[in-house]
Amino acid sequence: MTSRVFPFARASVAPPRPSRRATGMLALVGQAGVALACLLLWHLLVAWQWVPSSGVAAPLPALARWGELLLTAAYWQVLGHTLAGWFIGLAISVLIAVPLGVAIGLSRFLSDSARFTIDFLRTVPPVALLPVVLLLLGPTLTMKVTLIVVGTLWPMLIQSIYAASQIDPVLRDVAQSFRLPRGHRIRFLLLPSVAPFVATGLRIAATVSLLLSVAGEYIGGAPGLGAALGSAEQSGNLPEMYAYILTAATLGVAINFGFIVLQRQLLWWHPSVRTAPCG
Amino acid sequence: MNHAHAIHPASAPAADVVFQVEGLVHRYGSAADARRILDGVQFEVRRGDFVCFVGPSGAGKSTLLRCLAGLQTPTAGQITFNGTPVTEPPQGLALVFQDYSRSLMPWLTVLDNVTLPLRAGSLTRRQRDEQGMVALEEVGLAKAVSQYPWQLSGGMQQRVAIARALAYRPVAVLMDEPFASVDAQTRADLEDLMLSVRKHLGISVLLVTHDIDEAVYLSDKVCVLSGSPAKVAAVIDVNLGSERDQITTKATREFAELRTKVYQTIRRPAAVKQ
Amino acid sequence: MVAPFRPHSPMRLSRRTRAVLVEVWLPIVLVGLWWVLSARYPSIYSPPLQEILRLFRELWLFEHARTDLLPSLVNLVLGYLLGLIAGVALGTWLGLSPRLNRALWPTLEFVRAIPGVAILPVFVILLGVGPAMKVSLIAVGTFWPILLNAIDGVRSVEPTLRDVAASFRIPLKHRLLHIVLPAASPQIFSGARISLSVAVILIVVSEMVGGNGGIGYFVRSAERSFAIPEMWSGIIVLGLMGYVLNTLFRLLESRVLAWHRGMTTRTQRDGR
Repeated sequence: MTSRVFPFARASVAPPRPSRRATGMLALVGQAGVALACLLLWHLLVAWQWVPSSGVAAPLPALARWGELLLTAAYWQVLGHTLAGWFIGLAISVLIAVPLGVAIGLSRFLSDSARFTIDFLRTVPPVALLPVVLLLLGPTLTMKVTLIVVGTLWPMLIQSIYAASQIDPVLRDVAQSFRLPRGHRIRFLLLPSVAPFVATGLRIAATVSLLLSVAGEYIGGAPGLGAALGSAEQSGNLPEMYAYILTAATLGVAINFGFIVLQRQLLWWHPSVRTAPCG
Repeated sequence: MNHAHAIHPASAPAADVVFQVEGLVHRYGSAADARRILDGVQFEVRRGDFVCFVGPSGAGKSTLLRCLAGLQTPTAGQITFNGTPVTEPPQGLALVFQDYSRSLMPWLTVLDNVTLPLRAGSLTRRQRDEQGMVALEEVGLAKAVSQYPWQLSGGMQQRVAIARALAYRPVAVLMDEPFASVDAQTRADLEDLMLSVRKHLGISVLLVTHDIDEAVYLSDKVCVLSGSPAKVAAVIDVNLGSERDQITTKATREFAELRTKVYQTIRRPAAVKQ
Repeated sequence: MVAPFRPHSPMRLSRRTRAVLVEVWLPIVLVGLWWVLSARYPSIYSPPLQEILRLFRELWLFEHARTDLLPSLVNLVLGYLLGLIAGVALGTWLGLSPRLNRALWPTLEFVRAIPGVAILPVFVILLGVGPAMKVSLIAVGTFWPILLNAIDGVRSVEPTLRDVAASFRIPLKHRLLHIVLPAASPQIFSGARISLSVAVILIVVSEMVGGNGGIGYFVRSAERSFAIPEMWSGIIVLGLMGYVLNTLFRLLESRVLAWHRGMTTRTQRDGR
């Protein structure tokens, strides 16, 4: 059963904790120190003209502008547009990919049939389809969502297929020998077994989803962070442009972090979440 | 604090002493909740000795071995190997680990695994390979030279680890419960292997085990650790002769007596307040 | 349930044929469907597959392949290799220095989370739209997944192996070459694979935005000038490019990590 491991599937589930929660104040101080040092370096690079000021804004004006923007409604609307695309696209992807993937993974015939197709389609960069989608749907939310679904379907599908193939055969024997009814088998065996892998796929897909949302906005012009970034760039407003870049980064970190926390909460029983790796 | 029982009452030249341990203390953790693992361990090992350390689980045997190997700095005490104090892994000492599958590199062949420690020296590739082959022949694995560790059974993997130690041409070999994870039949074979290795190559062997039968069968001296924190409760001489056999030796009365003695020493409440 | 191999029964399909058939029937059916449906119901946005393929042969074999695809590939590979080397080097160093790694971690996580698309404008402003911009953008985008995976991989080297290295007094150079890097290589390859898709996305995006040639620029300008069949032919090229790169990568990986595959299948079989 394991000899035809589906390619590209992620075997490890939860990412290792980067370090035990700051063993002491010293670690925290070190981390803050590094962050500050980076900010300082950024500031110096601009102040001393080591990077052209036509391209790089200084940190203080950028942060100041960010602060200003945080107080405007428009900023939050922009954020909302990006997140809307992100969420809807991801949700659709999950709703399609997980049941389909699990169904495929449980059948040897189906996984063999689908392997080449999925393998091929997953390598098409979703941005390649951006022009097509843009033509068909214009700079809209639907366009973004379509792009996101196209981009995130494959990792989720692959992880779900892989998950279905990794169900512990011993547990399956247990379910069979105790003659568990189908509903119970799905609820108590299938779903929990599949959950860790799906969770990993979800985390990856969430990052890709954000990337595609911003790409669709920047190149396609749909409302959102990318578009705001683009228009700031067009009007030469560097601090604002950098404020949006920082926003995108924060969003990415928050999403990734949020998923990790969620994963640990829901999958507290899984060995990779249970045991703390060497740190 | 316990004294070391004199191993050989008649004094022997100091150069014959391979390991000298005095007043070894080790604590885990910081001051408030420090756990003492070793408390004043003391003993001596001579060249060509086969010494087994026994004691209940958690008695600090592995910690002791790590300190001897230079992988861990003890909280207090002095360890001397070949006359030099041990502060880091010393030259001339080889280790065989309990978890053989994790101590061999899965991306190297058996021969490459065995010769890896020799790369740092001044031997040519051919000389290294020859030395490795000799070691593999000693352990009976000459045929597995270009296989990978994970293609071999557990017992064979442990043999590879032993060959690696032998190829290193060490003065002494430290073994941490090396046969705990192999089946009984393989264990018997490996025990005999170690006896023959010691006989042919004159290497000193320090072996940690929880198996009393094994300890008595293999060693010249059994060093019993007991109590928590651990001390040397006794060093028991084993006079079973140099020719040992799994069946006949273990059937002798002397063997049974020694085994009982070791058992009793372990179970006796730790002698404190000397 | 696969039929056993019976060389003397012409009626039964041999095992190998059956295996191949199972894998190819779906793609063939899908392409066939595309062909038929697009010929039956042509639209502006979805021209007949026949025409797309005709254009594909005309344009891409081999004229445009040379003028558009090749430069893209060159920039892609250059940027990728740069990012790879930097990521592995820095990742190994940080993986071996736990305190430094811990101090750098939040900053690294933050910078890594900046979507490549968002910093594209910066690169354009700083470096223009030429190859320098593309290569650097790809190098930077490739760098992060590899860096983080290299750090992880190096940090999770089996502690027993570290003890082996210490107890046998193996010097640093040999430790790195024969223990640390091989042990981390599965993880590094995992990061390299992610980086490959990032690189492909970035080359396309940077060319779509930047102009100045390349396959991405071709597709975008075809879209802009409503040359739809041409655009689709370019998309097919992109798909093929992605597939070929991935296949090459997988071949390389299977060669380099043969030991790892052997080991894990054995472990799975023995249930250890």
